[in-house]
Amino acid sequence: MQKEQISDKEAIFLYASFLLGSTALVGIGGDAKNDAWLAGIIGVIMSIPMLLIYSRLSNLYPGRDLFDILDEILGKILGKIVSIIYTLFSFHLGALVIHNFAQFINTAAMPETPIIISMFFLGLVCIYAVRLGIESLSKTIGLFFPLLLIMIFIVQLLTIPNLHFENLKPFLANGLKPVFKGAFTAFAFPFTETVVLLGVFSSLKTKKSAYKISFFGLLIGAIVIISLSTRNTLVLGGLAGSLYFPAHVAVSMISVGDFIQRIEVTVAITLVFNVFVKSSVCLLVACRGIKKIFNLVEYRSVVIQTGLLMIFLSYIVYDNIMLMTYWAFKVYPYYAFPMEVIFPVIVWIVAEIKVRKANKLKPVEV
Amino acid sequence: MRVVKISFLVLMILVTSFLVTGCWNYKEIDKMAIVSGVAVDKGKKEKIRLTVEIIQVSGGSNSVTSPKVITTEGKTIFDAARNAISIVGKKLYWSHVKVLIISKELAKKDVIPIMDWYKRDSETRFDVNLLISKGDCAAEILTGKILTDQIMSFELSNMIKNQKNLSKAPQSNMVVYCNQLEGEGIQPVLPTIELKKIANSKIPTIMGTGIFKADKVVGYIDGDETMNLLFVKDEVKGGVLVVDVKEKDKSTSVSLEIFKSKTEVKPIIDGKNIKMSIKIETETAIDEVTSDINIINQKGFEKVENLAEEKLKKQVTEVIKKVQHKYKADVFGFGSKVNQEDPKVWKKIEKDWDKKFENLEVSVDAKVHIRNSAELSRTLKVWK
Repeated sequence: MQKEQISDKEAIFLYASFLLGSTALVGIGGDAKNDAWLAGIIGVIMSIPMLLIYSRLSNLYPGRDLFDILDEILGKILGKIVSIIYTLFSFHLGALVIHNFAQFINTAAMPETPIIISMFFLGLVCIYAVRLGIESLSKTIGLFFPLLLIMIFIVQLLTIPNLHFENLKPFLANGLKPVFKGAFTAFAFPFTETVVLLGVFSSLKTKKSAYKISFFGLLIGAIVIISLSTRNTLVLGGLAGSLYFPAHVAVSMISVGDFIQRIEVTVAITLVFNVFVKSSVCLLVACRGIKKIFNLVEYRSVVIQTGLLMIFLSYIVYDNIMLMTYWAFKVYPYYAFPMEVIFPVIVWIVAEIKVRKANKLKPVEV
Repeated sequence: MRVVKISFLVLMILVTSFLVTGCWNYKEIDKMAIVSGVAVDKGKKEKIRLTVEIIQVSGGSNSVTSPKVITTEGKTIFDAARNAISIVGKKLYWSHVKVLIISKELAKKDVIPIMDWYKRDSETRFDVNLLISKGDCAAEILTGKILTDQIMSFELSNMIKNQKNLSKAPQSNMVVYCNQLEGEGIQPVLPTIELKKIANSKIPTIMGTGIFKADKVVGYIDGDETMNLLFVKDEVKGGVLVVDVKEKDKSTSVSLEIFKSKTEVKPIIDGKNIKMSIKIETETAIDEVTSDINIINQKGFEKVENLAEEKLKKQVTEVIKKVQHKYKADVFGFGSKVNQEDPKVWKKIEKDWDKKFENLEVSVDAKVHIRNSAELSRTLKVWK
């Protein structure tokens, strides 16, 4: 079988779309209130070293995915244990994202539809996409994501009459503490969640491109997320903090000449696509992890089972929407910290040492 | 094999076409009762009396929309809204509500029971126009005489929208109101509506402002005072400024049309002393002169400008004084300006801001610029 490949452009879009995920809907830096934009920027800056580490790892071992790297560096047993942790992390993350989406649909659009229906249909599409493989997924993204960006841009332009810049004041009213708290949340969700992407970047076309992809992907994703969050604050002011889905209400305020109005559906479109991408990638990585752990030949043989389990997990993972936001903003940053920071740093240090040693042992070519 | 495959595909297409034809609870438009306007009163038996104007759409080639007004009671707004089913037979659909009218009596007590459901429910929208009824019964407004539209709520919504050419009532919706309610150092205002008896029919008029202190209305100011209030809040987008000019023994009124206005409110913080300085800059044009005094020249312009500035200054100061001493509610948002300027100082004085506001020193400075005199280069001359 021909090896699957992702071009650089598609990978950048994949990266940005993954970052947007459900974050574009729930916003970032809730703790920081009207300084959320600052929290976002600090969060991005904080996550840059981690992204460099991820890129370095994928550059050191081109053509290998996260689980191959773990196996190589941590050895058979420890590697397997960490692989299991990452598989579960990715599996869980995918379920959370699906739940997030379904909760939005259930709250804002179809309150009488059982929540499992929206989860199930999104999950089915993800299973289908993952069975087709990363190449078709990234081709889809390459096709749709630019359109989404254009749409987001147009909606942003349309909100200009509703922006109230005095909502940004007072600047740093409660000091820097809440800003850093918000930045830490943004750091964990979504910026360093991209560790999951290491699981698919084995299919990159060129060896050197991991840095480039991280950089441009982060640039696009961060600009969009921060501008959306800032827009929510500018349009809604203090109200943004009390809404579960501020983006939805902020866009609903648009009314250009009584003609262009009620365009909340654009928020839903953006959300559906990005959530689809994020949960598909999570499912894919989880399947690859299972394949590696059990030494399977093909990950495709476990996609349907894992996908269905993921849908079910997303159904039972939270009881209600309060738990969802509590988890996402209060618990998640600490829960995800080992997977996003501690393990990657350890792996990276060991990898650097190993590479140095291997280089020393190599006879010098003259 | 091929036959099996094709027949399976056909089956799949048939099944999915049945499954994905529409939403879970799909409703035809003529099966819905679309709410266009709401009025909330104190109930006679229960706590809340809800009056809604619903639009009935009848299908066919010559579709007619006809409004109907119905009244229900309930323990809460939502309860009353659902009780409507037993009258209309259909579930009310809330996404097209244009106006929400709150009765004077309820506004005096507190408005949170009304706002909360409206904010929380997913069918209702934040861009609804809020109004306070000055008359005894808010429901009466929905049954008043309609002049230009078919549907009362739409006419009211147009009235509010076109206030930008009048500036005698503030603009408010759910987002604006809630931010004023929750915001530090600012008190909410809402436009008032009232039925006026004109030629034997009762016609609703939107003019004036209800002043809130926290979630209760503490008083009302009229249309002209509202304009001055809006000058301070920097929300004047249009309107008319009438200036009386006296020359020798003749006097005339000059109407200035406002095109653009900008107000800068700046707190001057000096230790513990806080002063507010308000600078109003207005672009106008002469649109009416009621006598033959010739003022359409450089000197006349300057004279009118000066008089207008003086008048504006006086009026704005008066309104600020009135609100400060009579209602004691910081509807101008002076406190929030202090907060924006210096959050640290605000933290210290936040607690006794109410007292501080009462005795706050405010200096008003107005600048009126006359752009042109519309299409006439002189006043009418009477031959004699």
